[in-house]
Amino acid sequence: MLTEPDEALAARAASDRHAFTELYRRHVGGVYRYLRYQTRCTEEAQDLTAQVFFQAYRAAGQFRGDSATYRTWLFRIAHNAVASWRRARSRLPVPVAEIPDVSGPDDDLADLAVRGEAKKVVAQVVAELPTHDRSLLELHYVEGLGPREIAEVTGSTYGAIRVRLHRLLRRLRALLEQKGVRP
Amino acid sequence: MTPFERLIAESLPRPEVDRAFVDELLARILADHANLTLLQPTSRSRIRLHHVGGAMGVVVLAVGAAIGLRVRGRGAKAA
Repeated sequence: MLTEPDEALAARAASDRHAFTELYRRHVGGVYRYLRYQTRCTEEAQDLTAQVFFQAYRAAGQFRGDSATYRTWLFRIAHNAVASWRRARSRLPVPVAEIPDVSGPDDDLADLAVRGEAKKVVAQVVAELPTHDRSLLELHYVEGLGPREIAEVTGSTYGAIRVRLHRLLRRLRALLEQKGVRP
Repeated sequence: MTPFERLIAESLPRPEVDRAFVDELLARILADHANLTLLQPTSRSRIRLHHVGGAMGVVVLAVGAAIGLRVRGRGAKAA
């Protein structure tokens, strides 16, 4: 079952709890990360993650693999859930972003000081971006979704996502150069 | 991916989901999904419990098994 494609599992997830469990195990981390990016709050991200997977199980029979991958379908549910959450909380202040520790275990020791510092600056700059821009970066560079998949998740078009990504990278480069990081 | 894109990708935080939360949520979803039906074999009378889920669903399964009732439902059948 471990190598079975998502879409084969999704086809019987409505009546097979083992198939759903496998899909859940594969995707709960990514969905949570996406929601954590969006909400910047662990508790809110957990609540929304629960909401997404309850809905995914109840609507499992509605998944049609001909127009989207299961992962895209799931992120689409997450995208809609966070949009509803944001509308409900639109009058509340946005919490200050946490600056995460971004040093990874695979950092080259000789490069660690310079590159580690650059990563911190990048993380700070990204944390100050508008939510939709952070979301775009997270979906593309952390979850590995391509422009076409992101377009399906967000209800945009392939061309629009490519243009947004291009402009965002250009803006990031300029912001980082202002802070002394030469990419 | 260009070196600049790689720097961006490596700089983005990857918050990990709490494992206990993952297991607890899965249990809640599966229990919620179980639409249980109690069958009494002696009288053929059928008591249907609509939308029994969560902790109550687990209780119904356990009590039903203990007193010899057949407990049937989508979740129970799949398990």
